[in-house]
This record gives sequence, C-alpha cells and structure tokens, in this order.
Amino acid sequence: MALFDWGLVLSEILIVTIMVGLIRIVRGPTAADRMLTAQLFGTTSVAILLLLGEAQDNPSLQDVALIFALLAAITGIAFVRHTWNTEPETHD
Amino acid sequence: MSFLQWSIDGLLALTLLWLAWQLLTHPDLFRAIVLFIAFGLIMALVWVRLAAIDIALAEAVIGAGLSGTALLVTLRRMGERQPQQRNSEPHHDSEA
Repeated sequence: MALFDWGLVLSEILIVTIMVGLIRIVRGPTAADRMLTAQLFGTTSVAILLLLGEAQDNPSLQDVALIFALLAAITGIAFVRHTWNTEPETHD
Repeated sequence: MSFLQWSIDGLLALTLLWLAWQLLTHPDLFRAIVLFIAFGLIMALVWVRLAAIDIALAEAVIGAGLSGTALLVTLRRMGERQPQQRNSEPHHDSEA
C-alpha cells in the first residue's frame, strides 16, 4: 500500500515537471530548444508510465514505455536529419 | 489516494487542453509540430489513465512518433519549395 501511494505521488510530481517544461516550448529561442523539450517529455513520460505500471500492478505498461523510448529516438533523428539545418546543402 | 488520482487526471486534462489550444492557434509551423508531438505523448498518458493500454500504444506509435516524423519531413519539403530569397539559389534550405 505504501508503494501504491509513492508511485502516484512521484508520477504527479513528474506531470508537474512536464507542465513546467511547457514554458520552454513556448518561449524557446531556437528550434533545438523546442525539440529537446519534446525529447524531455518523452523521457519523463517513460518514467511516469513505469511508475504508474508499478502503482497499478500492471506490467503491460512497461511495453508502452518501451514504445515511447523508441519513438522519441526516431523523432529526434528525424529532427536532426531533416529540419535542423544550419548550413545550406544540396538536396538529394 | 482518491484525491491523488483525481489530481493526476485533472493535471493531465489541463495540460492536454492547453496544448491543443496552443497548437491550433499558433502561426509558427515548427512550434505547432513540437506541440503536436507533446500532445500525442500526453494523450497516450491519458489513455493509460483510462485503462486503455492498447490505444495508448497506438497513440504513441502513430500519433506522436510517425505523424511527428512525417510532419517534420513535410515542413522541410515545404521550406525547400517556398522561394525564401529571391536572388540566391532555389535549393537553399530554410530554418523554420
């Protein structure tokens, strides 16, 4: 029962940190700041999912956490490869 | 315990509504795409809270991951097609 409470409390703290991180999306100076905030949301969501899975005795949430980690990496790679260009290059 | 669960759901709903409002009303396309990715992540967390774990999986894969990647690639292609500088070469990449 104690573990149940602590999982929910910690996941709520992590949700509050996500809401604080929204500030950096709104007033991030560069595109990389905004994209790194999305990466931070992915990492924090993995932590929230693992804590909720532990709190609700639901081990299948670990699979959802795995998918989150995988897709955050894919989104970051797409940003670096396709959007974040600081110098001109020849396409194709 | 019940208050904790209510407050978690309320915070998630508030964040989701704020993200949706921001991404629909902002003129900067790249910021809207990043907000869309964040919206997909929070939406998947909401599906988990609603005990719909398979829908959370689909939302994380399709909504946040593949759609975000496709939108980023599309934004770059749009920037290539628009004439940014009239005097320079037409395949100059633009920073969104």
